[in-house]
Amino acid sequence: MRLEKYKKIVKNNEKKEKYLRNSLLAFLGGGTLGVIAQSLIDLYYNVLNFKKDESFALMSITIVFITSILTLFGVYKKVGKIFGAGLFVPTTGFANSLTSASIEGRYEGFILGVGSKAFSLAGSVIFYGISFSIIFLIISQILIFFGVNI
Amino acid sequence: MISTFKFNNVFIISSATVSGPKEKEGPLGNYIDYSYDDVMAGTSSFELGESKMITLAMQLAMQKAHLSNNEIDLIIGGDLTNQISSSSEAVMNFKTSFIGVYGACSTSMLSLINSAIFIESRLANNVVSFASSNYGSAERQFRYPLEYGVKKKETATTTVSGSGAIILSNISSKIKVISGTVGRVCNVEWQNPNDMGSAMAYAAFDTILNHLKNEKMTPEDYDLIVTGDLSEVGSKVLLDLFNEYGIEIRNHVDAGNMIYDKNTQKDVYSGGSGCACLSLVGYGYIFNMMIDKKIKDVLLVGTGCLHSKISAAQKSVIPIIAHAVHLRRVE
Repeated sequence: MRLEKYKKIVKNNEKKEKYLRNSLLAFLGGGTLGVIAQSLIDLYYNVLNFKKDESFALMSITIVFITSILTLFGVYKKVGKIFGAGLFVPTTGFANSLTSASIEGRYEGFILGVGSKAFSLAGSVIFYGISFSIIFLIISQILIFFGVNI
Repeated sequence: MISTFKFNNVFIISSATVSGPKEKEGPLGNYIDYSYDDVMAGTSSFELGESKMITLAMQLAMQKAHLSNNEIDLIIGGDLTNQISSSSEAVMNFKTSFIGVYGACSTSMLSLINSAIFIESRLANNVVSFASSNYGSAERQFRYPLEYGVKKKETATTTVSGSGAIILSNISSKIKVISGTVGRVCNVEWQNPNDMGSAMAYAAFDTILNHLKNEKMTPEDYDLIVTGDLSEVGSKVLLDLFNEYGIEIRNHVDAGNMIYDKNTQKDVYSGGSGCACLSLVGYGYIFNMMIDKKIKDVLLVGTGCLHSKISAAQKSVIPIIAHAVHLRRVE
């Protein structure tokens, strides 16, 4: 049988992903997370009187901490499956990838497992995050040198 | 050229199946000999749990046939872990000659055909053949960490946890191995590891078609054609491929669609997959139906995607294969 015919048959049988439903759920999940994050910033800034940049950092730390705890108890997986990209794209997804990989590493011990496997998925976020920060720093410094007001 | 090997004096004298909890809850749970409450089977890791299930399946099969270790000439089997280490760990306790085979999810049929060749040639009297997979060890091997919370594709399958073992012998019994077709590795330019059923459907089509040609049989000559783990989508693709070729198949079932109840069981997605899928359904439920005289001629077709995590990351095409075995109930 020709490959084209096979590919046509596969295409005809393709299972449709529920894009609209998934998008709405992601919007809802991501939006709710945004509201929670903003409330945390307000809490740290207005109530607990932290500085603005400290409040932002504390918010991220809180989100990462809660996500890691939820991952540890198997709750995050259930929520993450429902809201998809709404939770996967923000810091929650990063924290989950880190913790889940780390948990998985426990069978191989603390050094070769938990420690080194923690960054198996999250490693590229950190690597490219830092790399591009350096690149942008260099660009901005060059622009400032030539008198561009950033 | 795709070869079908005919056997005259190969019989399956006993079979045993061991599974995890999800398979026990499934529609065919009653046909499984023993089920553990967790996929680690009370051990400290998924891999050790898998080898414990393999060990028990082999022990049960030997008990049923009233055979001791000394009477087994050879063990052939495999699983999905790296370098099939779970299988090797399991057979360590048996102190018997061992051949490890890897055919991804087609391993059950690959080891069955290999075992049959040793019996037919009378080089061995009793051969144990097994195949195993484990949700935990396979997900770690091929996919993401278990607690990774992302949405899975609708076409994704769930790896079956369990192990099926059979003993082949030249002593006459109710289930006779008539022939086996060793499949060829096909390339359908497939790169999507989230939908393996659609890819493997082509290999199943290729092997079944050539098996029928070599055996000079039609699909109607079989009471049942059982594929391993094409799942919901792959099964439709297989039937459409045959339709396109002008052959209508009405007696096809897929073990991946039978092992779980998609309506009541959670996180099953498109169905079951893994080496244990066909071995649990085939060696449990299907054998029972044969012995109960509900069906006589059965074609078991194991299908496998022969990629690795590395080859998938390198975006290589996924090689696919299928092996078929014709079994017949004899009086």
